[in-house]
Amino acid sequence: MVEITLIDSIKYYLINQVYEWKSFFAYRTQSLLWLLYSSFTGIFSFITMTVIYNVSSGFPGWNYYQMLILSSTVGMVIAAIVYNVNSGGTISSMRRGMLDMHMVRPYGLVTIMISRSGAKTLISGFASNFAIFAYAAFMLHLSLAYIITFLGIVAIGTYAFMMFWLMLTVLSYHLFKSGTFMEELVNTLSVVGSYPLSIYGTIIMLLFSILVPIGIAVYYPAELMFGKINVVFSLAIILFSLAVAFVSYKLFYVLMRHYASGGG
Amino acid sequence: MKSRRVGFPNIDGYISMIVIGIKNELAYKLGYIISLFFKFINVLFMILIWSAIYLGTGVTSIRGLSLPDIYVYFLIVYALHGVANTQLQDFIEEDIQEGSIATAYIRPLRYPIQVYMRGAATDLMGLLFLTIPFFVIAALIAHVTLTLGRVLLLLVEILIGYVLVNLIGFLIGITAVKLINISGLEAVTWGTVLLLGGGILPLNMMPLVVQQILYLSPFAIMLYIPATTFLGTVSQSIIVTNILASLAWIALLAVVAFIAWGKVRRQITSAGG
Repeated sequence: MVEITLIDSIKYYLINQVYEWKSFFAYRTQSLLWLLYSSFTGIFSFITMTVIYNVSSGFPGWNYYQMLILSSTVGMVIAAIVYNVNSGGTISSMRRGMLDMHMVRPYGLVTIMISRSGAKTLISGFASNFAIFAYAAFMLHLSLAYIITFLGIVAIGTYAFMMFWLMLTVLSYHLFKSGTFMEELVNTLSVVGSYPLSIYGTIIMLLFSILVPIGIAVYYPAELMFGKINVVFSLAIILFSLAVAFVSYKLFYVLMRHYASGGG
Repeated sequence: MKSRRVGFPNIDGYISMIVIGIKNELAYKLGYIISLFFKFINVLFMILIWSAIYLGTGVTSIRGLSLPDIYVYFLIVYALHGVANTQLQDFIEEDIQEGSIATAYIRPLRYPIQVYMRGAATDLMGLLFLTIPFFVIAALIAHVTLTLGRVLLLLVEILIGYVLVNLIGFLIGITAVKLINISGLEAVTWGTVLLLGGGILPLNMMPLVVQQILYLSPFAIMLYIPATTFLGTVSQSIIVTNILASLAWIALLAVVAFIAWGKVRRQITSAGG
């Protein structure tokens, strides 16, 4: 049996990225239009926040630039996740049996799935949101140490949420055999996560903190950065993120054991 | 390639296209129900977000819209998603990519009307399961007294918006003859329509100059104008300006579509099968 190291897995991931990017640019005009559209996600939320704060005093306890940080971070997190795990495409591949030949390769199933299924177009969505994030951070005079700490906690949360998203994609395949649920859910999360979870009330806040844990990747790190929660609570959030990642990883393999290809 | 000309209109043929379209839609019932469920969820979140702005800051009105008005506004906007939406471009793109344009073209039906009829099935489903239920909920919440005049005005606006959406969809669709894959163009177009049509924010919250430009654009009548007509918060002068501008857009786009179709239909090739 071939011994697969972490380096091998990374190489496999990168080789697939090259292949995916080449495929993406097969229709050059359309790929450029997709990149343009994807960048709209950041621009739209920037316009929305600007208009909201222009016509009102916005959300209690959150100023304009803090809201830009929150909405741009959710844009970056979702772009990073969907870049690697495009649920609609993955479920479609599973249904048509197109994933099967890749699954016999000697890499981990997670590696195979995140290497094969991402939506490349999201890179411009990430870039536009990052530009807005940088602008807001500059206007808030945030120190580099603060930003790095914040992005570090966001990265842990994003990893956890990506594992959760991958598990949910496979679960969605088992339940619905269709990517519609996941595609609709990601659109809803983009909206919900762009605003402080506290505005939705306790039940919905808990729902998006525990059951669909987008909060661990965006909302709580932002609260920490703006001094709304203490360090102990944020450490608890990091531990919870790691627990989410671990449980999602295990559940993903349990679900994949019962995977039956839809065709081929 | 030339389509066979038959006595127009071939009503039975076109009606059967709608029936097929409805059957296709119902073949994916679960997906359809999930999409509808998320439409309701998204309206709920928009309501919660705007409630936080109004209640958290203690304002009773923003640019003439109270909090209940905002609830109704977003319900109507989502209701209009059922009709201010088309899949015409998807059908044309699919026909060209899969090569089924060849079989579609030899049917004794005019191709543009044929694809419209397939799209009309989706529109009908949207009208029944999205537009009407959301309008009923909005009417129950709003306690708005709808006079016959306002109902007729609303219907005219919705019809104009529907025609515009379909013309835009057709124009995007026929670019597939050259581009083959038009998904990116489609996403850019509908994203723009959503923002500029008032689907994300009521247009009267935009800066005045932007509002004035948008009232002359083909987008405002798709979502914003019908929603605010329902609420009675938009002035008659804006409605009249927008309806006239939209009619001018329909005339312009229809001419462009007619000329463009005349040119591209000679270049159609069957790409697959």
